[in-house]
Amino acid sequence: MLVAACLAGDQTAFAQLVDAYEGKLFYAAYRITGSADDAMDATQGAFVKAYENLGAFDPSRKFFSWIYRIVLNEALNILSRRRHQSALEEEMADPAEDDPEQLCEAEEEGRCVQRALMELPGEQRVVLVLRHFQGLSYQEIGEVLGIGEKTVKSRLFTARQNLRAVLTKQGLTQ
Amino acid sequence: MNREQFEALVWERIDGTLEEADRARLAAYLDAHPEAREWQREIEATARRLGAVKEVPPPEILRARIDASLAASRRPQPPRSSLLARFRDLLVPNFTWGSPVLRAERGLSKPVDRENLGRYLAMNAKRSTVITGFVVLVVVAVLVIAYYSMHRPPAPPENAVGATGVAQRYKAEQIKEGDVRLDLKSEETLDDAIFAVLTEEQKADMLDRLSAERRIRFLAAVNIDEARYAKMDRKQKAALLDRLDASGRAQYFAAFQIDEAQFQAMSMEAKADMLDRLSAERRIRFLAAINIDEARYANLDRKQKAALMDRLATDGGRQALEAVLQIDEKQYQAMTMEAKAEMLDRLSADRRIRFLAAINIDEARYAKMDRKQKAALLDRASADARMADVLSRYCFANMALERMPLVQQAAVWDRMSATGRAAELGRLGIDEAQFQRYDAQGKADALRRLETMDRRNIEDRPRRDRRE
Repeated sequence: MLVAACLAGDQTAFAQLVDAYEGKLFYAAYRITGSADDAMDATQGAFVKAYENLGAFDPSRKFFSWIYRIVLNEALNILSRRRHQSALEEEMADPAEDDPEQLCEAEEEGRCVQRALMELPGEQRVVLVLRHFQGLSYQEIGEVLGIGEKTVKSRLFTARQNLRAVLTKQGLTQ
Repeated sequence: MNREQFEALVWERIDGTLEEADRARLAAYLDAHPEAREWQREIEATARRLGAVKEVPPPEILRARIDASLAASRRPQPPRSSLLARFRDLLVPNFTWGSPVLRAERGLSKPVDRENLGRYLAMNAKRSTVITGFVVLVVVAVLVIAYYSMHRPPAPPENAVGATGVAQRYKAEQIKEGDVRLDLKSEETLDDAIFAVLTEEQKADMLDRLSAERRIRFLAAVNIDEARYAKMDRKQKAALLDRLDASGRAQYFAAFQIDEAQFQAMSMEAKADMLDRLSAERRIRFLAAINIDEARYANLDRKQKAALMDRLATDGGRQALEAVLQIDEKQYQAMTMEAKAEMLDRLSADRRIRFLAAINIDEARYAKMDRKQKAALLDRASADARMADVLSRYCFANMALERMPLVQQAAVWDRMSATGRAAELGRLGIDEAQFQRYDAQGKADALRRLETMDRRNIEDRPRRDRRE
């Protein structure tokens, strides 16, 4: 409805879409990139792309899965551009890195989990973010990523196993 | 069932998607494998950790950035159907075999709403008119072509040039694509190429279109002050832009093309790019304004550079815009050399660097100057530079206040911008309503209290610096 209204020239319709998705998309991008600045860039870029290409949106699909896909791509693209700059590593650098106990005392839990997330491949991080931080069902994740439910399950399982391994290494899952 | 399958079932149970049959399998496995309880605990601990992570809300500025970038982007276009499809729609919209009534009766579609049948028939009649008109047009076109193919007009005699003679005599060669070339050299940007073909008139226009603040900055970069600029003709103004180096020019192109809204819409990457594109001199001045030197700048990453731009937009930029002129040129002229030198010394480091940059003196050279030379510096600066960077800070100095009559001292408050005054009143811990109840003496006293605070601050500075 809002998409159609927007295409018909209703300026406020897209603003309502931004209202509805800004927070969720930012948070997803934040968990993917590990940086608020990058997440802002990704969210902003996603909304602009969605707005400019609204005409190409297939109304038979759900808007949320379309825009989620755009923001995830934006976030992953930003990450790949940043790979060599390691902005995140710098931002999250911690002097107690080598001592897991100290690390857990020193850092907030969220940062520990985020650090572990950043060690996973992008594909695995994305499914974890969609499931655990966005609360999407297997089916919804499948719609966003354009994959079947079975693939979602197996990817999610691998991602969780790997995350657990990283957290265990950091002394977090005790 | 192996360990992997067991763990997959545990995750499914946590997700709430475990089926009854699997639940029984899971329980049986746990009974048979006591070590599996430990694996289960690990998985549950991981899930708890993930669930305990707090959501991060978007920064407030994000919405402004999104709105600004949407405003600057293309309006969404509805999906375009192919030409053929549009033509088909015109002739036979919603093409169906048979009428809706027939289709409904045959069970091929939903039952027809009888009330809308009239509208359907009217639409059909309109469609018939369009089809008939189209067929008539085609028939007429075919007839005309057939007639002229059988009755060709006779060819004109060789000497019958007639009215076309003049046109043929003055006809010009058509401009071909190859005739217009930008000839961009490998190191030349498109901006450079465009700049190269601007007329002098256009260049002068560009300068005139700059805001006063930007023009002063531009003139400082080419060592021309506002007074000299005012006397320049169009040709000379155009020449000024030519004197800038390529990167300096790029900034002024940007000055025409980027406004605050667009800036807000820029990505971190783009902001960092903007800084990189600044000429060295401009960057130094920019960095000085926000207390970052070139050496520190060289070590900054792109993210930090972008943050600098944000700082300028929020603090430095606003500060510059809100600069309050609190002493005028006439009062300045009445100052002694000593007072002028003291003014410079009492400037904050960043203001002094900015001021010195405007008159092409660096801090090292300044440090070696005596009082007389320092006073001469102020004389060398243009009136605007003096007002913007120095005088505005010194209405609170005793030397100025003491010479001013009470009414004039009180009037200093009126010359401040609303924001500037609110900030100063905030320092004194009073609000606008209280201030409005003050008489001239009260307002002058308030100024003196500020001056005392400033003086104490300045006197404490060396001690603070030593501590730091």
